[in-house]
Amino acid sequence: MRGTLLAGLGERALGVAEAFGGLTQLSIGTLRAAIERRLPWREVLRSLDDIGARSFWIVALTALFTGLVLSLQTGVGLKRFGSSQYVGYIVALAIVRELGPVLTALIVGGRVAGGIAAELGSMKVTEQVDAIRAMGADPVRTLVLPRVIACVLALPMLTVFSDVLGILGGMAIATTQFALPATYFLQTVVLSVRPEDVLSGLFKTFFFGFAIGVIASHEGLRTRGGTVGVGVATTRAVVYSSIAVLISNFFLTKLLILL
Amino acid sequence: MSSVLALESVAKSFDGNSVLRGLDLEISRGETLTILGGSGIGKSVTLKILIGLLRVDSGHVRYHGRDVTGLDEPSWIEVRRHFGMVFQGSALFDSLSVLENVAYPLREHTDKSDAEIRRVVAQKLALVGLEGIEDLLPAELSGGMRKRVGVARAVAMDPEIILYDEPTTGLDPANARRIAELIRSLQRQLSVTSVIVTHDLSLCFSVSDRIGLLHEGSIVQLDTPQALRLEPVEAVREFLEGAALPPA
Repeated sequence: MRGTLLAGLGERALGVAEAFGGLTQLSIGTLRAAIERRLPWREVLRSLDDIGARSFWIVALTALFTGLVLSLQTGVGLKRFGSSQYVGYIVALAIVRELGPVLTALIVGGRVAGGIAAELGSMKVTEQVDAIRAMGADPVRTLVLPRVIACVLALPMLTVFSDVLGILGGMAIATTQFALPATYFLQTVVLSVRPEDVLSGLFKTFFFGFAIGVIASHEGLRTRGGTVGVGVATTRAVVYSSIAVLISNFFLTKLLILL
Repeated sequence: MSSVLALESVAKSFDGNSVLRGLDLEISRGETLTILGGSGIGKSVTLKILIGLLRVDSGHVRYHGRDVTGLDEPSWIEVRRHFGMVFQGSALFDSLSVLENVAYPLREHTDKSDAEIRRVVAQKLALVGLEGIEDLLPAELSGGMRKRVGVARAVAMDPEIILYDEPTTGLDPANARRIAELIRSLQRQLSVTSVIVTHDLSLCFSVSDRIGLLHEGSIVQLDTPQALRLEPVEAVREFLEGAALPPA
């Protein structure tokens, strides 16, 4: 019984180590591919359209309603102390420093990681990845790199939209529910948010974009076992990229506070 | 004839399941060699080992006498430029048109202009009897057409060696015959070295210079089609009896 348990644990540890090894190798390979040869811009633009432009509405919806509910909850809490005029300070800082970047990364990660893993997984099981290799091309450069670049470029841009829409959502609640003038709300935002707050939020999104792109591509490229395998890879990509965003967010935030 | 490709004592297993056990094979320049065998016996694995898509557990792979077994991926990419491969399911890129599929290796390895690439693609499509389909997507093609586009893509760079993985599987007899004729005509026109893996006896006996039967992880007999008919070893005789051997 104990032996079986230990063997199971050992197997799981080996699987995790193998996955981390593969991820590290793919990350290095992607960075090397970005440096060594001309970037495949045509593919990057296609991926940017798919990953960035088509994620806009879901990001906008998430940001707007997050701003609405955050403002509502904060306003109700502050009203107890007669301080509802500070809603703008709290909403803006929370959105710009944390909620904007993280929620955008989670939403885009959920949508995009699944898509990338499914696409590359299908290519793997139908031997299209082998076909690329057989033609003397590098799947990392042709398949992974464009998607990773698109994720790295799209996330900061989407986060800027997310920040703006979240704050506007907060303003809508502040003016209608707590009778704060819109100009006053915006003044508090300008006074509370400093450039480094915005930059620290955006800085994190480059890492999130890289992590989402690499994890999703890795899961897609290690797909085995036909259509069932594609489903498994898709689920794993979404789960792992979300976990990576949440964990790396803590350490990046800690690092940025220290700097 | 000099050896272009060779496998020496190659072993390969997957999750403890041994597929190849000491496989020896030598492929001469300009010949068409067919590896015959039942399903799941390791034919496609052998082909993928020849082009470096799979690594051997032990043994050696030689290309023009050079040991390429332990090459890293970038070095293999260089070697693969001399190969063309036709995949069992065609492996055309779904999101790209026929033009872009056939042009893929040209865009990857040459600096040809768009007009030149278009001209080469048209020429290769004409070679496989498919003129004027450049703008279609793979999903708009029949199974036989997809196979032929796969062949056009494999010969786009005028390779030295073409590998065919089950080129007639899943095709009706008319399309299977068309593919066999295409392989023969490519042999005549391009004088390439071809390696075919199949369980299709009709194709095998109509296009091959030599045929080898893969059985229990190794080649049990490698001979001309005629010798294989006249003096088959036990495993070959059983395989040929199991399938309908085409008339001589």
